[in-house]
Amino acid sequence: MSSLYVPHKAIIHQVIEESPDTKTFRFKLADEKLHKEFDFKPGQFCEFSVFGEGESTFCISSSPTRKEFLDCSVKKVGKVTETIHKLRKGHTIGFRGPYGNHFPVDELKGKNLIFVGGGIGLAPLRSLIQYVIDKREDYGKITILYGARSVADLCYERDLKKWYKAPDTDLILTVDPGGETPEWAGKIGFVPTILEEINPSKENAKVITCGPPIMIKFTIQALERMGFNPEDIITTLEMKMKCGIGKCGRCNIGHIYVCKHGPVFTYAQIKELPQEF
Amino acid sequence: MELILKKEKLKEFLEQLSKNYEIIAPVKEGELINFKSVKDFTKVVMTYQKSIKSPKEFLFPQCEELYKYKFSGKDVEIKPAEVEKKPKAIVGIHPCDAVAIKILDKLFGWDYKDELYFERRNNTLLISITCNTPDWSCFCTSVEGTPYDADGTDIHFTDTGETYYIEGKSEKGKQILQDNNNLFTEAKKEDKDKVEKIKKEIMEQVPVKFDIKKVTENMDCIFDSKLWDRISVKCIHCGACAYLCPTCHCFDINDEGNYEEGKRIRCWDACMFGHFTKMAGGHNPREDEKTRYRQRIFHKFNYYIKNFDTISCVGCGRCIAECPAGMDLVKTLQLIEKGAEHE
Repeated sequence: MSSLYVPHKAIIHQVIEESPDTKTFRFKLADEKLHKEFDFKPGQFCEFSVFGEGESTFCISSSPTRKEFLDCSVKKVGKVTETIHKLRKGHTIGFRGPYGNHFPVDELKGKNLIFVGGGIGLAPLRSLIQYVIDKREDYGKITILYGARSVADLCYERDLKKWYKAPDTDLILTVDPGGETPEWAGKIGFVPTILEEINPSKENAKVITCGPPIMIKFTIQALERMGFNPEDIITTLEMKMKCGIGKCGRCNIGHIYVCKHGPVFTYAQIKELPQEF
Repeated sequence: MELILKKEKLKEFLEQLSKNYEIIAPVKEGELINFKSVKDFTKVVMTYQKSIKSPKEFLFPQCEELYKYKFSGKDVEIKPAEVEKKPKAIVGIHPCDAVAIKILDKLFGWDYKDELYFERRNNTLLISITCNTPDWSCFCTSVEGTPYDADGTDIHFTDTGETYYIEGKSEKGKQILQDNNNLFTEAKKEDKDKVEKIKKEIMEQVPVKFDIKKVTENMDCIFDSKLWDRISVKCIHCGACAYLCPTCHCFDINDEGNYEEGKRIRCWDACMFGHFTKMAGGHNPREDEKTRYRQRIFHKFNYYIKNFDTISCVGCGRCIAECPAGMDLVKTLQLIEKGAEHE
């Protein structure tokens, strides 16, 4: 009997509009015992099903320290995500996971953490940010730089307000030039530019970055100029996935399967991969 | 355990076997040889030149259901797929196709054990036969195989002309031979000698075409070679190579049905198709034939070694014999053997 590809039933509890094209789906596994026992680490991903439409791969954007619900944030980009956006409270979905590796939460202990996120790329970072805030004494200073195309495209407004007030935590928000509103009090400029402007110290620091590929590319270039080691830059890679468990054969970059060896990699590891992603 | 079965007794042996197993065997369909579920054992063609498809599909079907779903109100009932219960015997599998199954085992057992595959796998008896009719496209001897050594099967046949020379290989295979010992006679020294002579003769029919060690050594420094532009240009992305390959395992997962009821299925897919790696946002890391063909070759002769300690090619030659555009894997590997400097 197959169980590997058979999802658990999950019930949508809340749908949060994050931006004009992104929603967060907050859900619970239908089997209460299973939901209670379900565990994962920040950075892991899942397969999210709409029965009759198919499965899509999303990171779990909530933290395992907040177990009441699981969150997946979904940007509308294709057929399945369009259907997902029609889901409402009470709808039943399918859930498989967690899959993949995770952010090195133990290795990060005692380090100053610099989060650099762009757009919906904040989703995997949010899981880790919530995690380190909930275990605040284990980690050093937190700097969060988050940007989006426009003010309306900034996700997780509720979290941003909390992070702003979190102890020993700096939150810097920026929008691309032209994306500001008259009331906008944050920065204006692309994420990599603002990163160099705020120039966080590389001493005892690790950077965790995620966003559009172009942002990651220029962020890494900026970090290298600032003297960060490739080993201290952590990001997540995205490739098309179907099975999530290393069988269907499409998410490889060289012999590395993003679904199994990843999705979390250091820039030092990424530099060793064939440039085919 | 070496035995002799007279050819006229094959039917009786298969009849005995069919009491416990569904018999899957090569039969002639028009000009083609295909593995089929057989009930009329006179139709079985044990000595044949390459079946059009390998019998891979009896362990990993081209399309299979993963589960059914059905909504009643807001709740959904999910019914996982069940694998057919009756054991199968794949009879007359060539050594190349048998070795391919061992290669597939590694992938389907990689950390997450694919139950659908292994339920069938563990419920399938493999009866191999020495391939004494290799064709021009065969190159098993170049990829560390032979036309007679079917590692991992339960019983092995060799056609010696009037009789089959039979070796019991696994415990299960030996037991089956034991249970039917009235059909066999003990093999004699001259039978064994005859088989050795046949082996030698067919080895000569499948000359080594390249040095696989050299090929795999050269792979790591050939990724960025211009070679790929040149050799991939003929490819028409039909995917025939992947669909006929006994070791290709890539698949897609989709829903068939509507929002009320239906099923989730997985079907073979191919790295030669443009949509294979195309992401929802439109980005495609392997968007042309060059990157896709390179992926195919690297997957088989580099990535698979790194993950599973074996190449993922058994030299069956189907991808060469059946490619409508005349792509030739052996020629590609010969170019790689020479190294990037010959590009």
